[in-house]
Amino acid sequence: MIPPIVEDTIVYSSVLILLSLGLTLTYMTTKVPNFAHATISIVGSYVTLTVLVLSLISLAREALISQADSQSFYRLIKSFSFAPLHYALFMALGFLLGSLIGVAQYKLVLKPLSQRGANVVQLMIATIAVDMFLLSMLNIYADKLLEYVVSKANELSSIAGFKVNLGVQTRDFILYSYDYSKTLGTQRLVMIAPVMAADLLVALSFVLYRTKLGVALRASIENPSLASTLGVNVDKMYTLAWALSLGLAGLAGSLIPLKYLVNPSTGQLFVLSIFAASILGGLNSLAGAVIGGVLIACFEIPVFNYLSSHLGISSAYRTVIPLLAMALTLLFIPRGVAGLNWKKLFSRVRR
Amino acid sequence: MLKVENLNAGYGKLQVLHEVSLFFPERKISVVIGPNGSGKSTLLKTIFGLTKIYSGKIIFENNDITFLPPHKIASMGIAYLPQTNNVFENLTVEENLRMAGYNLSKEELEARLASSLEFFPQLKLYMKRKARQLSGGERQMLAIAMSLIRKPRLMMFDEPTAALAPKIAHQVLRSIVKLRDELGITIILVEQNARAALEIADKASLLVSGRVIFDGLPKDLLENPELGRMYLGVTSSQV
Ligand SMILES: Nc1ncnc2c1ncn2[C@@H]1O[C@H](COP(=O)(O)OP(=O)(O)O)[C@@H](O)[C@H]1O
Ligand SMILES: [Mg+2]
Repeated sequence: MIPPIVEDTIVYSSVLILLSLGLTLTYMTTKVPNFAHATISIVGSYVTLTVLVLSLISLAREALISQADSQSFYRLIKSFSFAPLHYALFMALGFLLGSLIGVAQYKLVLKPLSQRGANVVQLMIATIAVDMFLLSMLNIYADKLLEYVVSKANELSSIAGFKVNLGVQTRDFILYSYDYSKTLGTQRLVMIAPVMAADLLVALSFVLYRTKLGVALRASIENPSLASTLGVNVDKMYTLAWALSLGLAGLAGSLIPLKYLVNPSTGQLFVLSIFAASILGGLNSLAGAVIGGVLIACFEIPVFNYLSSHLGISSAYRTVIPLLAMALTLLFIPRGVAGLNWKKLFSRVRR
Repeated sequence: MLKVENLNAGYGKLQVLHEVSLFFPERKISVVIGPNGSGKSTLLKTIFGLTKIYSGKIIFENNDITFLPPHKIASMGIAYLPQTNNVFENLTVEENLRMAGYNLSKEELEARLASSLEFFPQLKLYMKRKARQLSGGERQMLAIAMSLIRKPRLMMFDEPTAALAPKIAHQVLRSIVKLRDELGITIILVEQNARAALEIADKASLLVSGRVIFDGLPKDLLENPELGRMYLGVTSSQV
């Protein structure tokens, strides 16, 4: 049995790694901190909810066609849990939708603006606008999805002859119960999140360091004009980086509702931690983003837990942790953990 | 080969080139000289689509390339060795060389890699090293090796000998002559070291404050008492 606090830390750091990795990669290409990053990942959360809704509806319909009575119907609905295919489906769709939005944000907003000579501050404000736009879209979608669920439930009720309630909410939802595994004795997410994070990290480093495309992407990040004179389509490389980064965000977001309460505005909760992780990692290093993600997760969960149980600090103050981490990093190690001279540091510690 | 007509270009609102018209003949070495800040680098960058063009035309082998993006220009057979930031510091020497052959097929890249390394055998020792760990001279060698990898029809060099020891600088100029004679490549060479460059040149242009003030044979530039004294550091007794 893994203690819950360790489970928590594992899942949270896996999600943070995927998110801060993408934020760092987009920052390295366009040099703009993308404030819409977290909300785009919440789009992935709604993908998972949609997959759940559709699965529940088709399950209910099948049950009613085979003449289930009210009791066995609700037993069946309550016992529904995600199958491997569901996980594959919502992670893949989350990735796809996230990357589509990322490409649209780069191509339709950031690139045209920077071609017209917008500076970093203006671009940054544009990403806030994208965030607000997506937030409203998610709110609209949450309403529409609820309408859909209600109308389907009514339709099913008339077939069933009793009141059908699918037990789905489109705000303040958490899908914990659909992810529980009896054999594990806990959530499957505890396995899935770290395995996904690790696999994607390996895949990403393979692409970046072992393929021609990856080398061209790194070259385009370091010196775009030189890369372009060598025949690299830098714009295509940046588009790819945005697709990849927000794909990862969408994928991470598809896992979020399995453990955390989700709302259209949940991104605003995560955005602090993601930025803290990326800044702690130095904003210019993917390895740094990974280390930053793990560190922030450890500060926010076990360290904060210790503080709150021993010093009685209210859990409401948890958001202070990423803010503090950002402030301290910018004050004392502005280039993040990736910018530290580790050799020198170690030799100083040994002495 | 390459023709520049009435070119006005610069950076944002800062115009650097004024009505520049020049012709670079095929299989010849054309040298562009001029004092610091006269717009020589800007001219090369403009040909490669890296600056803002206000008006004018750039024609390469009868194709109008004036507003093409750099990667398209690269694929048409033009190579360019920038004056600064001409290697990727965070990439290894090998990755740098492979990037230089980005448009080549795999077999071609391997072959060109081998032959350009023969030119600078020292680089073979550093293949896995990051370019930022190289010395200034080694870096310039890498940059030149990179520009040699592609077999372009036109090559533009921006002060390739600036950071090099005289012996190596001479070697580099010899290799540029070899590119013309053995591979038939058309060359545009921007040089501060004007005398040595003019010795190997077929054609010379003098750029001052973004304007062409001489365009003709190197011999005529060297013998022009006024221009020679002002821009080549040649005293009249030498002429
Ligand atoms: N990236 C740039 N942005 C703005 N101005 C520039 C830039 N590069 C060069 N300049 C300006 O353009 C002018 C010409 O520079 P350059 O072409 O580098 O001259 P040269 O190569 O002949 O020494 C100079 O006044 C320089 O300050
Ligand atoms: Mg120059």
